[in-house]
Parts: sequence; structure tokens; C-alpha cells
Amino acid sequence: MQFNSFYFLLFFTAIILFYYLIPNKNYQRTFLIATSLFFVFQANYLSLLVICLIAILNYFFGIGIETKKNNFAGKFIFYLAILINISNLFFFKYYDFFLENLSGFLGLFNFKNPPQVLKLILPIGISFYTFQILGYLIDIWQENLKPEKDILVFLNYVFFFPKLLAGPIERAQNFFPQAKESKYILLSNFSAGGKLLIWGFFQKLVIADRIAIYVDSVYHNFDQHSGITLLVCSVLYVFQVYADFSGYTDIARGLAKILGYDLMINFRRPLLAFSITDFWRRWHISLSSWVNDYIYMPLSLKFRAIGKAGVFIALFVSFIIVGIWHGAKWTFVVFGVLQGIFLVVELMTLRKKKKLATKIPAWILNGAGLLMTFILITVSLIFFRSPSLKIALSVFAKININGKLFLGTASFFLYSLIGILILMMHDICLEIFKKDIFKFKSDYFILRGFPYAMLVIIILMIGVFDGGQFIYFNF
Amino acid sequence: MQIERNKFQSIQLFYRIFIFGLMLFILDYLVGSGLSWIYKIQKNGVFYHTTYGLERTVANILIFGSSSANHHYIPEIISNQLKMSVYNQGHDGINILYQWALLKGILKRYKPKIILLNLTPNELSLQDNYDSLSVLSPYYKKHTEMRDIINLRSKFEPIKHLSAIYPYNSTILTMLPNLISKKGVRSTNGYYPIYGSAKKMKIKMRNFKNNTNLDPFLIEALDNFMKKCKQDDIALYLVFSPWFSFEIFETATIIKVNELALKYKVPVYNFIKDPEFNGQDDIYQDSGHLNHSGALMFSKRIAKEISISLRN
Repeated sequence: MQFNSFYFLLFFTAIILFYYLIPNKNYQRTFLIATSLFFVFQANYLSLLVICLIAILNYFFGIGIETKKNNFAGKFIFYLAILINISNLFFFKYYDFFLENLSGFLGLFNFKNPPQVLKLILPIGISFYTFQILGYLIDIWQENLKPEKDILVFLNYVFFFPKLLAGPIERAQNFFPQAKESKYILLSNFSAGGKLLIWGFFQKLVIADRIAIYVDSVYHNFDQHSGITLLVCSVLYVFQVYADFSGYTDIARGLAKILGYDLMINFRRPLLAFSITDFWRRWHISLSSWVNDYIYMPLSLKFRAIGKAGVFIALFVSFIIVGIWHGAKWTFVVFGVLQGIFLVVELMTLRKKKKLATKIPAWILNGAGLLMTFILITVSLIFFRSPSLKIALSVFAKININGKLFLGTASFFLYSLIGILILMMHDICLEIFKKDIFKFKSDYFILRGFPYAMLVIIILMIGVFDGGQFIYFNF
Repeated sequence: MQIERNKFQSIQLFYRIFIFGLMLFILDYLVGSGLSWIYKIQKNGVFYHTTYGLERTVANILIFGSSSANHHYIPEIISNQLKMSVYNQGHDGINILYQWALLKGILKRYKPKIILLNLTPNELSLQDNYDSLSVLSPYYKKHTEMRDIINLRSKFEPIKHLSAIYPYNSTILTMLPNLISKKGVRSTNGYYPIYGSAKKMKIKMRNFKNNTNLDPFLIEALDNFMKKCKQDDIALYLVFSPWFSFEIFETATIIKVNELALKYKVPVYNFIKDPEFNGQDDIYQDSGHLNHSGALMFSKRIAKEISISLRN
């Protein structure tokens, strides 16, 4: 069941009606868990089985780590829990990738009977809930968090359907207090949630799915397209991924808000970043902050004895993990490696940049930074989009400004540009003037609601209603 | 206290949902009516031709099919040869469901004497979705006979069509140029020529595949199409128009079409195997589409074949 389906909208409307009729907070939580499990069940049985098993095991692991903290048993439980969660993720997501590469490697030595791949179905949301649970366990181990004893609260944290499929990777500290409250109908929640939903659907249906038509058709026959077409396609893909994932996150946050929950912000106008460091503070914030807290920081501390090199190693490892988190493909590894290289170069040139800032006007420096960051992200996302390293390199090699630009249907191209223009106007106004272009200050609800009604009209007019699923559902 | 607060918030919420819904309804009605008006006053372009074919033409011969029909059959050439009026109903990117819906709509108004139904080698292949039927959405309200076919897109189509804008989704930028400028009117009686040859443009030609999984809905639509023509005494010709092929073989679609043709005693003309057209990249724009030169050759040929058939 996809968020951008009519079926889901009916499903969610029914959920809200029942949810707010339930008077007791325990029953409310139980209802939400049941709803989330139904949501998983709609995908496949395996996903349901895996998530239930993992959630129940980790509930007990959390309590076990806390109660046996000061002895060997506590340490054993902690490492066992970490091992089980990582193994679960590895088995479903990376096992076949590992075996395929191992077979290829053994093939070099004429090794016969290579191990067979399992072709397992990837349980939905596995990368997202595994990282959530790992964060929860580490926080308990580091005594930053008390384990949740109320199983309904804990299960709600793992299962909560708005964030289950593609995040945000929510922190337990943020979620638990909210899950313990009784939820009542609040006009402000519905209003804020509704606005997020409309804006999310706009990003997904008007921008991402429209651009996808062009990008998919170019990638389908990339060898037949000119250099300029591949260049335009690569630039458009940056907007597609942004609108797709940011749109999904806004829909997820909107759904959660209507149910009385505040999920963390996942995107803060990333295409207006002045550097790659800045970009990762704005893009997929729940993942980048997770990696920062649980991988980069501990590694930097571990390697601090070797100075700057230690920081570079920590950065590299962190971003390889970010890359491979997205999927079991070498293209994602290269995506991560590229981010690592860009960040290391930025760190190494930081002093020079500061010196330069004293000589060159800030607007030139910022403009150049903005452009450079966009170019580097565009290059990285070629690997992100390509089905294989070979294709990514072929696309990359073929890009130039020559040849005839493939426009598809001219109107399709224009629809994409209209969407991008609205998205960028929104982001630029918010970034520079700290003002949301869709928010009118007025005492009249009609005036405040009008921009959002217009967004719905634009969705109906130029949205793509038969588009595919969200890109990040694959992760 | 909490109950009172809840009650107040609920009333406020329903009031706002009602106001927002009303605002949406009015905006949807206004914008939708505008789009409907623009759609109706089209003087050329693909929407004009679909409406003309469905609601106005009284041509003796109708040509049905997807892009290969639209770009391969020149009505004037066929008309000169057969001394009958011809209209090309072909439409890019659609399948037999569209043809069946359109035929139902046309037969409510008049009966053509001859129908040429152009098919592609994988016309009946299993479809992931029927989204190409969206081109019929502007006729959903008026042509009730088409609804059961348009509803195949999804079970929520009747609800979605409550919106006045939805039937015109993604049409505005195609419609506006046809209002402002008459430049680019290249079609005559529905035919749209395509120029440039694969040879000159160095386009890599691809052979068709044999998609063995056939779609039961598409088979049913073709069966209904043929049955209806038989019932209404319309002479139906099934045509597989030329294809640039490296290797000639029978697809599951071709086998099924031959089977249905035998059932309804309908002639099938298969030009995929024809040496006059096969493998000549100067008369193709791409693997499945003849350019204007190719269309000229093909129109003469099909007109001759039909002429012979009519004489017999």
C-alpha cells in the first residue's frame, strides 16, 4: 500500500475516524500497532514475521542491557543484540550481494561450485527500523536512555506506519514521550499535518513522478542519447530524488502529525547548501545525524591519536556505511566513497577557504560554493541512479554539452520546470526570508487555506497519478 | 473539561474541513470547466482529432490503431484509390482497449462501411496497467458507454472522475499552443506524418520480442471489437503494418489474432514479413514506425490490397 495511492487515503481516513473515537491511550496504542502491522502484512508475510520477531527480541534486549549493565551478562546481551540486528539486516539485504562478489572472486581462481544466491525478498523498512533499534540499544548501553518497559510504547516506536517504510530514522528519546500521551483531536495538528500532506503530495506527484518519466526514458536507452541529454537528465535527477524523498518525508510527517506525533525534520533545503558538509547537514538528516552520533563520533574519538588522518578515516568509514545503507550495489558504495572524498577535500582546504573569504566578497564565494556543491551532488547521483557501475561510468563518460537535446514531449518538460520552479521558490524564500510562501497571515481561514487549495488544484492539473513508488522504499 | 475541549476542537475541525472542501469544490469546478472549454474549442492537434473522430466524422472508412496506424495510413491516398471517405483514428501510445471504447462511442452515432484495425506484433501482451486509457477521460461523463473500459484503470476511477479537473490532467500545455497558433498543423484527416529516416539519423534498430504472456482483457476487447463489427455488418480488416525486423517470427499476439480472425472470418494482412518494407532503414523513422515516404508507399499498397479484396 503506497502513500500516493487512493486506497491509502481511504485507509488513512478510516484510521483517523476510529483512532480518535478510542478513549483509552493503551487502546489507542494497540490500535496503532494493529494498523501498522496490517500495513506491513499488505506488503508480504515475511516482512511481518521479521519485524515482529526483531521488535519483541529487542524489547527484551533493551531491558536486559539495563538490568545486567554492571556485569558480563549485560555486555554479552548488548553485543548479542547488536550482532543479531546487524546479521538480520546483512542476511536480507547484503547476503546475495556478498555471495555474488565472493563467487566472482573465487571464479578468478577457477573455483568450481560457487555458493548459490538466495534471492530473498527484502522486508519492508528493514534498513530504517534496524538503524532505529541500533540507536536505541546503543543509547541504553551508553546510559543516555532508559529502556522502555511498556511494550505497547516500544512496539509503537518500531512499527509506527508513517515512518516504517522510509523513515525518518526516529530517535527513541523523541518518540517515547509522545507515545505515552493520550491523543485528542487538535485542530492545530490536523492543520499542520494537512499542509505537510499537500506539500508532500505536490513534491511527489508534480515534480518527482513527472521528472521520473523523462529520466527513466533516457536511462532506458542511455546509449542512444546525446551528451547534452544525459547532462540535463542528470541535473533533473537531483530534483527528482529530492522531491521524491522530501515529498515522502513530508507525507510521513503529515500523517504522524494528524495522529498526534511529531517526527523529525529530514530535509532542510539541501539544494541550497554551500558545501558538501553543509549538504549533509540538510539532506536525509535523520540518517546523517545517526551516522554522525553512532559511527563518526566514536570512530573519531578512537582514532584521535593519529590526528587529522583519524578524522579522515572516520569520515570515510561513515560515508561508505551511508552509501551501502542505501543498497547492496557497488554503485552505492561508490556514492558513499565520493561523499567521503568530497568531505575530506573540504576539510583539507578549509583554511584556504577561510583565507579566500577575506579577499573575495561573500556572495561570490557562496555562489561558487552553491554551484560546486550542486555539481558534485549531480555527479554522485549518477552512481545512485545507475543500475550498474558500468552504466554509471558510461553515462559519466558520455556527458557533454554537444548534440541534440531530447525533450520527450515538450509539455512533459515544461510541467517538470513548473514544479521545480515552485519548489525552489519555496526553498529560497524559506532560506533567505525565513518565510513559507504558502503561509498567509490572516484571521480568515479561507485566505490561509487558499494557497494549499491551489496546490491541490495544481496536483489535479499536472500531477502524475500513475507514477511509481517512492525511491527510498527500495532501501 | 477534556470532553468539552475535544467537542469544541472536533466541531471546529469539521467546520474547517467543510470550508476547505467547499473551496476545493468551487476551484475544481471553475478550473475544470475552463479546461473542458479549451478542450472543446481545439482546432487542431491530437485532442481535436480524437473528438472529431468520435463525435463528428461520417467517413466510410475508419482506421483504428496506435502510433503505427496514426503515422502509416494516409487517408487521401486510400480515399483516392477506393473512392470512399477515410478518417485516421490512430493515437500514439494506446492499445486495443482504447479502440474498443472508441468503436462503442462511434457506433452510437453512425456505422462506417469499412474498418482497418492496425495491430502491432505485441498488441495483446500483458499490461502492467491501463494508464494509457487516460486519453479517454475527457469523454467519461458524456460517453457513458466507454465508462466500463476507462474504469479498468483503477477501481477508484468513478470517484476520481467526480473532479472536473481530473479528466484533463496533464493536457493544458498540449492544448494551449493549439489555441494560440495554427502553426504545426500537419495532419490531414487524422494522419500525422513523421519525417527523417533511421538511416540518416543513425538510429539503432531493434527487433520486436515475442511476449508470450497475453492479457485476457486485451484479448476480450479484440474479440468484442470483431464481434461488434460482424453484428453491425462492418467490413473489418486486421493489419499488421510494416516493421523493420532482422528476424521474422510469429509472436503470441499474431497467433492469437489469426485464431480470432478465423473465428470471425476476418482477413488479416501481415506486412511484417513483406519484402517491400522489411529491413529498409531509409523508409523508417525507428524500428516500428515508417516515415512519411514509407507511409506513402504503405498507404498505396494497403489501398490496393483492400481494393482487390472488395472486388472479390
